Amino acid sequence: NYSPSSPTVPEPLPPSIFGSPVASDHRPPPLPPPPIFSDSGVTMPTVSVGRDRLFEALGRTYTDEEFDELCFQFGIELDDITTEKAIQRKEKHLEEEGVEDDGETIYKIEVPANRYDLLCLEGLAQALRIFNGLDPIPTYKVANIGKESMLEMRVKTETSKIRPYVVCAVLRGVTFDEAKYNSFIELQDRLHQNICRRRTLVAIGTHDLDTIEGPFTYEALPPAEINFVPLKQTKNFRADELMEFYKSDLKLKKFLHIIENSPVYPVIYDCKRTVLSLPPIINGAHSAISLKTKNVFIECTATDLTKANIVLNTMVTMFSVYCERKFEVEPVKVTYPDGRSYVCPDLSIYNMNVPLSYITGIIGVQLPEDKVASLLHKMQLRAEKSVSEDKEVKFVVSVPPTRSDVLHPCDVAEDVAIAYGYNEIPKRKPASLNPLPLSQFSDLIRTEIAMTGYTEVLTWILCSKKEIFSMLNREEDNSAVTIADSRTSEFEVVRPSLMPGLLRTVGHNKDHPKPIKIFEVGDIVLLDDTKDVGAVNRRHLAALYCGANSGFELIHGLVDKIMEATGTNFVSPGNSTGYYIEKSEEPAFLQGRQANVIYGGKQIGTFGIVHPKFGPQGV
Amino acid sequence: MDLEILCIELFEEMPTNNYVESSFWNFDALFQPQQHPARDSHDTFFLKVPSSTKMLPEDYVERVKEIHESGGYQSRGYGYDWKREEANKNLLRTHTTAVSSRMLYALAQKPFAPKKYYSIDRVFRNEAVDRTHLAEFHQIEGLICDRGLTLGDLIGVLHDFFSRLGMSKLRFKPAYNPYTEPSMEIFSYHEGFKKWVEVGNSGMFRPEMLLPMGLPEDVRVIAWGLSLERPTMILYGIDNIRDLFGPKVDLAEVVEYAFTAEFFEPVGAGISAGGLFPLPPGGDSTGDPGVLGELGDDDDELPDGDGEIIAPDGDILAGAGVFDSPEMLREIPTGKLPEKSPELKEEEV
Repeated sequence: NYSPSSPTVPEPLPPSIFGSPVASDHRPPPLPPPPIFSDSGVTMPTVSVGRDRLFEALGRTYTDEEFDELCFQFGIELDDITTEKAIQRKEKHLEEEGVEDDGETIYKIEVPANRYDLLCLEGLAQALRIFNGLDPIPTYKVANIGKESMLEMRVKTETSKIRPYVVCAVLRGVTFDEAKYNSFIELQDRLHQNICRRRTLVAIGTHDLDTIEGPFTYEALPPAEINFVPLKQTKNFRADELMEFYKSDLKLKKFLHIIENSPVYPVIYDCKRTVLSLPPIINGAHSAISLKTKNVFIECTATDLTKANIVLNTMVTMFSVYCERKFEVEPVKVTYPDGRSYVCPDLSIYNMNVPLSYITGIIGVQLPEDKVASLLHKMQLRAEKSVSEDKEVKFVVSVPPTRSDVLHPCDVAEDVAIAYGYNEIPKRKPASLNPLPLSQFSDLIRTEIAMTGYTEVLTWILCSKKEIFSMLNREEDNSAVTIADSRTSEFEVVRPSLMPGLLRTVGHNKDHPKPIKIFEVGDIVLLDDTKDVGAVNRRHLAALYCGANSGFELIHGLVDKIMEATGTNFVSPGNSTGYYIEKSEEPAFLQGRQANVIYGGKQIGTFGIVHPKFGPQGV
Repeated sequence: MDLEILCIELFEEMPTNNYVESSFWNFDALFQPQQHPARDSHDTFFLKVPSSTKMLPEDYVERVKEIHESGGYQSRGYGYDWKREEANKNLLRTHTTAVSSRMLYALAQKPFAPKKYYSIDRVFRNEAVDRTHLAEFHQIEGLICDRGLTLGDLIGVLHDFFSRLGMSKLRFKPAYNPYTEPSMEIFSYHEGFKKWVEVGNSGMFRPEMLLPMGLPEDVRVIAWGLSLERPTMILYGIDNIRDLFGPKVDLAEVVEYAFTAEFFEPVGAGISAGGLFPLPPGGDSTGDPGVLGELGDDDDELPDGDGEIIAPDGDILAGAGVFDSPEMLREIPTGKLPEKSPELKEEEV
């Protein structure tokens, strides 16, 4: 059962599955959990875009393979190629109906979770066009309008109790068509799902500005005082009734908890008391945008102001491309009750000083300064060169409002590396290792036991309370590390013993010929007040023999074998220079057929015959 | 000069025997913001008992709070109110990188010396169990900490490391990861599938993670990680992760298959953790050779045995013991342990 690694340093390995087609007769397995050391199992956002529309925006067509390669270089992923109809069929769980024409091809593209500007076709196309050297970097600007003609949002004090921030902006002279309109709505959805953390941190409302009139007010009122016709409805609702109504709405019910238990609900009115929205739940029907909308008013209410600004900037920069004055956004003044007022959006450039040597030092490739500047340009970052007194070449890198992911010069260095091409970087050499004594010792023990004919198993650390208490004939208490909120009901505690795993393995292998001889070497976890986190791991060994006769001597023999192999002598009771056994009272074992192993005056183990009443029956 | 150091020095194993971890070391210290989706109870096992951590290094906590809230060390920060309660929440570690953060912090408290670390151990995610997901699996992680490391070094290490797994054709894709920048996903070309398969993730730890710890500014840390189960499943064509790992493994197949694997594909040993690394001079294997013992090669799914377990027809004997008491380790001269040849082991199967 056991495959030792060779005791000498291995020769370069002959090609295995990754080098030769040995597994070609296997059907490819669906891939197991995403490789870790990444975003902790959280999947990257996926953006669905029409292939033809995307290619039109990119100014050329690609084969699927070519486009996949472009994505790979840029750091996004062509996750799936499908069609609108196929998606609908999947949603309705319908069978594939032959190979009819399914209409437009859809690309599902995974984008990095911190690139909010890539969450819509407009942003993707812009980023890829610039990456391909087709476009200059856009310059976004806030329209220069006088204070008196600027729209205003007045914030009332009560909002601080529920959702304290709001930022707004206006897109003037927008031309929508169906595709653009859908993209606009989808971007809101994706932002809500991602950076807005399902609307808890930020919620976006978009309105047809020509149907409403400023100044606007952002208020927080008792639900019974709010009355309006919500989007997609024709009848008037009171806010508390509306919340009740949405409890059966599949899409909206998951947002109700954000304000449901608050005595006041956030609400935005225009100067004629028309309700714009009841954030973060729903907009009013009155100001709904349509294909004919020309001027769009955008408000983002939030509990996190930094994220509200990022969200607003993403919305306006992406869709200002359809404005009459391209890349220009009209500002709105937000006035708080204490008199402070702010003009938003803030589309200013963030300047970052980055030495050339810092960039090339990280990448490990000596690049001339002009090359670095042009590589940065491909990633939408303008770089102005400056030479300081000590002759060090530095860049002033302009981080545009679309690139909120750029926090530190290391982000700039990464962009240079991406534009240069990760796979163009020449490799350098290092290697070898030094295991911990505990790991080395565990492996020696494993080898020793495997040689006596026991099969090693690797079982789960998570288990149910039943497995560690009633199955082992123990009273349930609070002695185990306990999980708060598990998706799987059988995972309630962290194992304080290896026994449940072994018993369960036997239970699942009831048809295996007897005797069954298995063992496990692994960590258990105990509560421990002396540790910072209040718990500690312990390395344990457990072995199990299951056969037709009682065989107490067999497991006793294994214990002796292990002690012998570790150079520990068998001594008479009371002697602390070696080990001896004495009668034990473990509830999981049969009375009188069990013993403790004592070493240096301490109990270090137990063995015995598992009580037939307990064990795997109840697994 | 760096090259010389890298060649002479050994990788040291990190002590990963602490499944219970605080959110602070698992997330905050890694510059992972508190609103990050990974910190939802949907993805992470938070603990009821013991629910929160009692002790964190206060001055370091203060620097971490600062970098999250308003930046520093040339970073803009995330701009949000960092909450101590969130950092105190205990969890079952979601990655062994939590251990890396503790190790790097400890390293920063002493005069700097370059280090190379590795670990192979269990991590936990609050996932529903199915053919491709378990709530616990193994992570292999490696990192090198030195002045002046480059992406070129990382690429070199990765080629070296993965070629020992039989994956010599690699390429790298830009990726996002909250605590590394630059970040690279690792793909290996699979001749059987005729396509590039993602096999791991890597990057340089962010300055926002390293500098608050107190590491010198020119020290860089290159790191990589992968799951043990994924390449193993691909290698052996296993399509149900429960056939590989856990109580539902079919013991009969363990015995039969391991023999064939040894006999026909000696290279298979390379995928067991023990074969991942070159051995230190005079040492023994390092990883968990037993993992290979669990490989099944059957396309049939094991019956889902829940609720249909019958008591085996015999007595069950079990023994358990603790082997990590320091006294015990001291008393056992490892040199005394008998050396065995691989041939002997095969016969014993």
